[in-house]
Amino acid sequence: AVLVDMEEGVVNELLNSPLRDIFDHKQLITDVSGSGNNWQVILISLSIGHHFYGNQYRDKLMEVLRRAAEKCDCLQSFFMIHSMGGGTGSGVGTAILNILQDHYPTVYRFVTAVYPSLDDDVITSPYNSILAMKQLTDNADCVMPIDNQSLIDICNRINNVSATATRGITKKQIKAESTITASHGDVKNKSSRPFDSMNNIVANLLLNMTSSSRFEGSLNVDLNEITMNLVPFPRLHYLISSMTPLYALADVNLSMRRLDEMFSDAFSKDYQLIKADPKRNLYLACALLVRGKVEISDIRRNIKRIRPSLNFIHWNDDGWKTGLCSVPPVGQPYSLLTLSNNTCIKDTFSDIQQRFVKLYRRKAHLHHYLEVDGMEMATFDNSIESLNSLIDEYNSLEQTTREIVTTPPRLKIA
Amino acid sequence: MAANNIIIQIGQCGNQIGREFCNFIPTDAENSKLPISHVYQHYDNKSRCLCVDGESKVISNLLNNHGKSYRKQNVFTGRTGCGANWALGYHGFENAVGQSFMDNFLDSLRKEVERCDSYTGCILLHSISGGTGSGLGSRICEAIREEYPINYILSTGVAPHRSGESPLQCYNSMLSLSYIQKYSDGVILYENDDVINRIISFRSKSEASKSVSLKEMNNYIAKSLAGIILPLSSSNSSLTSLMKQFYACSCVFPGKEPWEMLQTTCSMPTHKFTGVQYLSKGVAWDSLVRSYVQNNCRPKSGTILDSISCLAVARGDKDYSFFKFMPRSHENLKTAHRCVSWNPFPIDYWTAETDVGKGSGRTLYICSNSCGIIDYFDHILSKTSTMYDAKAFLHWYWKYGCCMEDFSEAREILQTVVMNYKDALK
Repeated sequence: AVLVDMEEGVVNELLNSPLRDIFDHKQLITDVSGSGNNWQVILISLSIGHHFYGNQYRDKLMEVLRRAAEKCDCLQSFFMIHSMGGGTGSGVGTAILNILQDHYPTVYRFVTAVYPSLDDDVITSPYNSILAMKQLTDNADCVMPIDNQSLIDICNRINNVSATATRGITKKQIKAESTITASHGDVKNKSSRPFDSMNNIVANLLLNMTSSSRFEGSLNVDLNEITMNLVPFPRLHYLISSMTPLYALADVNLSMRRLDEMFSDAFSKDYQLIKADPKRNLYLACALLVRGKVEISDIRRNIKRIRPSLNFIHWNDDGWKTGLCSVPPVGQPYSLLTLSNNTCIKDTFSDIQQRFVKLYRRKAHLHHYLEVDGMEMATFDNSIESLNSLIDEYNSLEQTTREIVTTPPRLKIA
Repeated sequence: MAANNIIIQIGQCGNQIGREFCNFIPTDAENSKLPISHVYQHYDNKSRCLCVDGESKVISNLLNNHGKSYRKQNVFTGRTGCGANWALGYHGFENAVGQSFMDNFLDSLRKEVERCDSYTGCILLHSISGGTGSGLGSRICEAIREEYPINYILSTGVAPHRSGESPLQCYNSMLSLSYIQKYSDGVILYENDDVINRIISFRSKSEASKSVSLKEMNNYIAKSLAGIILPLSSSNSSLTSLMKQFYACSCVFPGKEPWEMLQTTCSMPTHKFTGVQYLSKGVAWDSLVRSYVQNNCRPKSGTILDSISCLAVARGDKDYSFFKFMPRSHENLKTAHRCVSWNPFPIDYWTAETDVGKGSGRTLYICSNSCGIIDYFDHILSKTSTMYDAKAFLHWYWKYGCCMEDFSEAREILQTVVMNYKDALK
């Protein structure tokens, strides 16, 4: 692992935690002042992150990456985890993405990006997000967008379950350590920090995605299979993820109905890690990565059951990818991770696009970006252009399917 | 003296089926010196088997459980898998594992062939829609045909669920089927949907709702394959030589069962695709045949089920009663399989005293070259053309070395097969 931050606070905290033995000081790159997150002014600038720190630390970054890559027996992919609204995450993150693309072109690059919610506390987050989006569209192989609001909602739902107790029905007992928000690694540290449960959800996403590469199973799905099967066109590589179940109940009354429930829930909006509405839009492909004691016929049965309520694009009518890993996550008998490539992501992009346009029209805060060497107005124009064309691509796919589907079927006689 | 055959397991599916198939290979301790036990196993009790996979998990599992039966130099694994991409399996595997992979593989194969007393052919086990099984499987089929042009190649292909196991399954299936059509002598094709349905039909009503696991599916495929290709006569046969001449079971040279099967069912190179089904019951042969006809020959609506030729293997015929029921059962089977009128000997019969594996009952295995394949090929061709027109997923194939000609050639080959089968109906 390589940890990068332009200020030392978070990384230092990590080094003082019980996990400090896993990381080596050689894997850290930090600076002191941060990418412009000056609390009095509340401005975070991606340009400082991408161009200024990106260049200054370019050699050091390449060195650390090379060391980490050489230690691997067989390097298959890079997982990048960062936010889109901030400065370091989006800026330095995308600079690193460029470096990886140049120096390790055959190694897959997976990005877990936290998109800014509507009530974001960083004013310039639309700028940062759009500038970073262009880099992600061009250089990443696969992006899993996430937003904070969805994570908060999932945490609240888990907390509400233990709180409700209707008259006559006993309180639902959640099995300890089975929730996807539980921190298993923190041994004695009972006081959880803010964002811990939300971060644990993202951690579980990555664990479930890599479970087939790490454990045995009857139907293994490696990481390169995920990209190859879910990305029909090179730029359309944004996957909506959803995970079920959120927790396991303490009473061991597992029936087939609960298993089917898990599949139905995966396609409900409440379990997604980003706000989107896939059922109303078109699926380009969908992966079902199952862990635990589930059999192949259960998966087939549920696919048949759920398929009628979903719209798939006409050329990929049965575009499912199924994977089966025998080892379930800690505390649960089985779990399902759904990664969908769906055109509804264009709505999320349109939101950010509108927020960007609102600021850009007035040229607000632009001078902070243009002050940095290497940053020009053209960069902004290119980035918004790239996002517009991406949204158009999704729209045109929906258009072609609509045209094909609406031709009325010929009457069949006998 | 027995003929020897080599099994080649490719990819996750192939190796899992191979693992189940191991259980059916007879390993009678007292008869281990006799050649009949050595069709698939060498005298040192190691299988005549080569295993290849894009990644090591499935094969390490295999070696952990049955390590003693496999030779280390016959096992080839990659590191990163073939990503359910035919192009990566066909072209890219060598880049991943090292340019000399094909040479090393053919070298191990040559050594295995030289160990045989009388090498007749090899049997490939693979899926047609994955990455390693389909891509690398096609490559291996082509290479073996070049190296050993007169020996047989039987390909056992597993086709995925039609409701979708992988978005690339149609492209991969089309490409790999075209290669097996070109280079193998015969194909036994299993469709996952059918396999699950058959397994459920074997169960009693109370168990019918239980889930079907992949292990059961692999076992079904392995058993049906074993029923057709494993040696018919065992050495415990108490038949006198005169009786042996009368009963068909000894008309097949031990070890040549798969190739005799191909001669019966795939007699024309234009019609190579067969399917196998079986039914086990502890009842008299004629009622077994009646049950089989009832359960297994119900046509799916709209599909053509005419058979060009069939092979029926009756195993577990301890009292040699099978041929007593022949005339009636023959008519039954002929009608059930709707054998074409222009074939004067549409069904061939073999018997064996014991069933494969540890079974002690009676099982009827039927391998039929039927026109049901038309439906499956039409399905693949239509899906691929829709996807190809939309240019979906193609960049992954171009990236790893495929070109448009591969796709158009594969289409043509499959379309020719469909035309040939349709002609056979006339």
